Amino acid sequence: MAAHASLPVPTQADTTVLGQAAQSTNSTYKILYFGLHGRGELTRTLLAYSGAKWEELPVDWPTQKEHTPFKCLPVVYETAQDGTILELAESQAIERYLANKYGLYGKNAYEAHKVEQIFSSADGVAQAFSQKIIGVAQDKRVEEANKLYVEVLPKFIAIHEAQLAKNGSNGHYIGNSATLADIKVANLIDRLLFLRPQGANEVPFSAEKTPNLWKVLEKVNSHPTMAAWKKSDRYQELNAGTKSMFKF
Amino acid sequence: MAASLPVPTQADTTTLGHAAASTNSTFKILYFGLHGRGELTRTLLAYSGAKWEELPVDWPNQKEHTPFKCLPVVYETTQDGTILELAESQAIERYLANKYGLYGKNAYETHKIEQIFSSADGVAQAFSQKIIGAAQDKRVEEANKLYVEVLPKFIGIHEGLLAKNGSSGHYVGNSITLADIKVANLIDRLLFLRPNGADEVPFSAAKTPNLWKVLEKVNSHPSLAVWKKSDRYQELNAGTKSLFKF
Repeated sequence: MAAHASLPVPTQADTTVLGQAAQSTNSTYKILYFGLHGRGELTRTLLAYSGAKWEELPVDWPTQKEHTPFKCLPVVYETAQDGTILELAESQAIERYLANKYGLYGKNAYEAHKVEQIFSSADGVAQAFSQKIIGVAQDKRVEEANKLYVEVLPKFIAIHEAQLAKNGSNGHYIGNSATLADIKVANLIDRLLFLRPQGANEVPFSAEKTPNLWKVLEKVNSHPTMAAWKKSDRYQELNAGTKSMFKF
Repeated sequence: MAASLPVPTQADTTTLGHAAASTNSTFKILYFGLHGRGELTRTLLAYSGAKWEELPVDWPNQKEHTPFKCLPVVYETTQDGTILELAESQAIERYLANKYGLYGKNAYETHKIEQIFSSADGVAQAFSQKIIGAAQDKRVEEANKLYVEVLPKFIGIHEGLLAKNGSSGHYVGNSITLADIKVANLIDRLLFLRPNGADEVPFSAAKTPNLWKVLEKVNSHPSLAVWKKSDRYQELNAGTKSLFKF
């Protein structure tokens, strides 16, 4: 069974034509990713936040792998409003593309740089969490989590509470509206809270301990389409899939 | 001592955004005397022909004055005199790539560049953790593992992508972008930091012709060729080997 036949076929055209199609803000999407949050989470979050329509393609990895540009997932197929099909790949490349498309990437090059500073800073913690907690043997997890909570998070928290205070403690990193920075950080906090190993200490984020970061989290999660996404059946499935895959 | 750090201009982001459009800026880099997380920034500035100087590092005193308590930090003085504080190495790299026309002509090209950057960065991180981060007596073993477990997959994918773009020595279109520079940088780094006694790094004109073309095109670009021959670049080479004990 040529399961890859079920993968959309990207439109072959020069990059000027594809660049034109990429301007579409009325696109629909097909996501090829496993049934967990993982490297697909921020992409799904950005699509949900922006109100874009998407569907999930059935995964048949052994058969589909050779048909993906980097032999890994996620891959996202965007059908632009003119019918062009664009193939998006590499999770962070997809995230930046979507953030830019949906006005979440700052209003100018300086704001985009600030967004990227925050993204980079948060990603450092996300990677440490991934390697040191998800990546370790289960019997080491509590120890590694407690270490992360006291060695890595306090520095991050102090820096970010201060950055947010500089922007007026309004629940946003830049100006008065959400950007990829807010969404990335909210995503990180959600993930750390959700994947606290059984028996580990409290994750040091809360309304009292980290008021500015908590405001960012609340603002992102209370955005109407975001709130709806998090209540959805699919989101609960992804929660369960995440815990199951990583054995939490 | 911290008084020697430039003071970023305080202004709203519209004003700073205007300043950021400057293509006639000068730069001051605050980073240690090795390639490390400063390498791609220096490469991008060298490529663009922009003037830059290196600030003396006094980390214990300067740390508190950096936005994320780490380096590099880059201070840009724009053509109107505004001072912008740039931080977080990859954020700086994207900003400079965009400023100097290395970030694609449209959102689709930018995405393609970011795909390549991300793919290459995965290897760079594996190298960093598994080889630079390994105890010295484990390095040869870890390097040989990387060369057979990680690089062939990367090479297979990238030779294919470059062939799709006409084997021109470019990932996107007909000119250098951040993608080319990032990958050239990665190959340079892997070749330069091969542990003594490890196998050959599997990049060469014969084995990886398309990737080698990318490397050659980037390194033969006039301003980059000059930079790589400079005394400072040699210092950074030496500093890199020294710090990482290669």
